[in-house]
Amino acid sequence: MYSSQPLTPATVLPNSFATKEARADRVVDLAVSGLVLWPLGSRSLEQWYDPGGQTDFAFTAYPNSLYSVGLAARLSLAVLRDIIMFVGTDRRIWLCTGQTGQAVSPPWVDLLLQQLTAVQLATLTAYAYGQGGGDFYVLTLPGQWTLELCGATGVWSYRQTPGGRLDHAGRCATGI
Amino acid sequence: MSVIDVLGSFQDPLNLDEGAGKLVNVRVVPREMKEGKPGKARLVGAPGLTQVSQPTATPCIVVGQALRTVWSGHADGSIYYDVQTNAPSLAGFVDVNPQQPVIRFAEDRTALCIASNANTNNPAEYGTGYTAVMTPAIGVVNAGFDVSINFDPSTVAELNNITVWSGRLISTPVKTARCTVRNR
Repeated sequence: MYSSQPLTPATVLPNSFATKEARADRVVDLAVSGLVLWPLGSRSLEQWYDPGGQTDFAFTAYPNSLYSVGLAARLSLAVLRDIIMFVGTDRRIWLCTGQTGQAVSPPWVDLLLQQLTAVQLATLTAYAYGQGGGDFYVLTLPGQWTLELCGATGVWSYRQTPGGRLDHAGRCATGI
Repeated sequence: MSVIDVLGSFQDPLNLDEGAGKLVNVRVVPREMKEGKPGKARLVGAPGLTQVSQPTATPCIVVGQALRTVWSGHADGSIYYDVQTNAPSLAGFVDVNPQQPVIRFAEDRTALCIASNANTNNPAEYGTGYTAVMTPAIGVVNAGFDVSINFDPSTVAELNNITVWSGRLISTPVKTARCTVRNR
């Protein structure tokens, strides 16, 4: 990971770098929840914060904070209003917010994910959207199925695009 | 069981079913068979969302906000801004892996930060970092990290006005155990 100088994204000093500290796995993706930076590794999740006054990499890892689950499918990562959601290497759907993370998928969704091959797992795509005060996480195995989690109720539903396709056509969203 | 009712247009209050806020041609379909008794039902309909813009025919894979406008990234690497209007503008292109294009956006106060999962200048690398502004003459600019710090990011995040660049893989090799289920 490299951090830029404030308000100059393209200005990165050569010594402003860090690696995940607790485990040796590599960083696959990044997400931010509140003031917490989550480096999402291939086998573990860490949480970092900005203590201020750092002379090299701007963030430092929280002590005693580690999850031994990694990001299994990069495109399954979606972030909405400080909620980070993704498919973990334990083949469960994780929801992280602030410094807390937990698997939220019910057993039937877990079973669905456990039956995927590694190739299928890598093709999972997801996005999140908010509407009417609710937060929704939409996970798609292209051409096969689309699942949607309603955060307010915890209810999972299948979604389809009318016209005969088994999955839903949506691939991304943002709130405006 | 066949469709049992048609309600017309309906605003699903919790978006429990088709997800889109307004559904049209809504039908009620039983979710649980209760042998003639009332059971849970689901609402099936067509999303009633209206199209605002379609900058390109290439699929949109990411949208995000920065510089008080909405940006979109597409599977061919094109980046557009003002996509919340009916007159989006092309900001430029980023390198993406055509097999599985990935584009990440992060909002900085001075620019949209973009990371993609290919690198034309150095194909052996895994990604490229960019910044983008709405000035047509500037648009999308390669941050040149492969030269300045010998690092090519494929993901980006923003916190406390600091941009963090990282990542490099399209997706991780998964080595977890698979569960085999047999019905007896």
